[in-house]
Amino acid sequence: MGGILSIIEAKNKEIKNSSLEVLSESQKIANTKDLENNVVILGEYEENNSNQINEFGINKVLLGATNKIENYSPDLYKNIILNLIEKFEPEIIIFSGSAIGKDISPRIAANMNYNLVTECIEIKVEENGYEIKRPIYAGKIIQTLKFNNNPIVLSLKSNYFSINKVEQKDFSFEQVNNEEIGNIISPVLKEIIQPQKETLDVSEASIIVAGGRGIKEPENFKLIEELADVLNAAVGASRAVVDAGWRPHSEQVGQTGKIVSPNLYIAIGISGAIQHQVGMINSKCIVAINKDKNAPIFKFADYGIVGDLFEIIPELISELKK
Amino acid sequence: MNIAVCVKQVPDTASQLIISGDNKSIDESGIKYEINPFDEYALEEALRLKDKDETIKITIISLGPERVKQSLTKTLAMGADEAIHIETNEVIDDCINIATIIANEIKKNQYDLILFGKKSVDQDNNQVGIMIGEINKISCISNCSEFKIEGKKIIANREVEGIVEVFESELPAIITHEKGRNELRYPSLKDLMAAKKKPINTIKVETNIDKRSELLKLEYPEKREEGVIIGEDKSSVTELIRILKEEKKII
Repeated sequence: MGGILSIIEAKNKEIKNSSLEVLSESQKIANTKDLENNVVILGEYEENNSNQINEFGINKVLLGATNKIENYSPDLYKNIILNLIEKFEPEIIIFSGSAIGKDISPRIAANMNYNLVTECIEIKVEENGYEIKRPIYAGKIIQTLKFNNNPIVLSLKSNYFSINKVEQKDFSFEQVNNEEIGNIISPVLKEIIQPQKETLDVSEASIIVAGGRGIKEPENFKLIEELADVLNAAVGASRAVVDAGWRPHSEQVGQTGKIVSPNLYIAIGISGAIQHQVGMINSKCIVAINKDKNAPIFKFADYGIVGDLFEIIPELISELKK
Repeated sequence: MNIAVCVKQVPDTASQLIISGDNKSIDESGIKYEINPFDEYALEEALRLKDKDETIKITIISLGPERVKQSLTKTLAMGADEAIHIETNEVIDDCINIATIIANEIKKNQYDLILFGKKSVDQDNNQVGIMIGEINKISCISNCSEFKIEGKKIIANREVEGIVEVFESELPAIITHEKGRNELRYPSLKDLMAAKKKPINTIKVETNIDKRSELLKLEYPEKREEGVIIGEDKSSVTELIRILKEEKKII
């Protein structure tokens, strides 16, 4: 017994990027420990779309709820995963840090009475267990935890791992039986409200253009939106402008908002208070535009422009459009 | 209607955290403790329900050392009716153990609604409320930005990954709450005085907790190096674009 169970999500028939991170990490663990890696795909998916998951050293792909529902159902997902745990008795169950991963992983851990370690950023295989690193205090501190060989549930920090492929062994598909759902206790999804305008979410975007109090007026956020449009970026916001009601909380980056790590983070009119900093410090590249040359943001931004955003942003937009 | 709100005391988010000499704990001297911000938003939602219906009883539940009482008094001053302090001086790391302890306490009463913050801003575990739902077989909707109660039903919105998922459940239910839309209230001095008359029941945690993980060390993340100022006016824009396109290749 033993082995890995990787929980993968599909959306619009594509495997989500955060799930590819899971495949990449689970492959590494499987390889180091010589474990079998069974993968279950949840959500709308088609078998003949398998080129996306071809090179991760998978042993078996289990299709769960893939033809039944396109939307999240805690009970259905839970049931499928618990059945698979019973069947394979994995020693390690890996989820992504997606919204679904965050919701379903504690349900699984609690049902199995296993430990759940969320937001993992490093998983080291040791002789008698695992050593896992994860950020705490919104990333101000990194902790290393040691787990012995008892079964464990993990979820990965999204957008943190690089996706490494390997040569593929053959793998087979198997449809998972999900006819019987007993023990229904979870809420039911009634409706999905799509945004009025197709917008990118900060937690998924590879570029974020964020605005803060330096924007001065809510109407001026048009500039931020326009720049985001040109760069195909998500709009982010500091706590100050969210608390003032200028922007929705879904855009807030920081300790009480989202913790993001895009390839590029452009902070405009954001001073960079510690609560904001912890939310974006792991961005691969940070650009700051602020008129106050003493703003804390310049202490950790890779590139800075000290100046009036109302001159610089329009120039940036028109240069990028060229 | 009986509402329970579970709160955790955490270091103030503005705290500079210093790792102690043992490399396994945070230096507590000089840290100001506050109620976890997400728990405060959850409490605010409960208080707003009580504003409209005085018969609602709000019970606060918190696990932690003696200092937690101070936060409990604050919640009573804000308008909660009573508090339960599950006291322990032990640091309990494994969430499954924390969830089990709190789940046992919740079982003792009939709550219609149990509210949590979506996560605590110290350990960022994001799991205890959801686990308690499974342990006590109570429906849980996590990461809600708002909810409403209609008779025996609760309807809650989860704003996730660019969409809003509307979930529905029968009561009793557990909600883990995002930062809300509502502004928090602050207790007056008079409220604080009055809160001293409200009951805080202390319960000791039974010991012999089955510890499942070992904290090996704490460390600071790698520090980001101070970058460069490209310029001071709009003429620096071309240089910025060149760097992002040609050197960094990210746009």
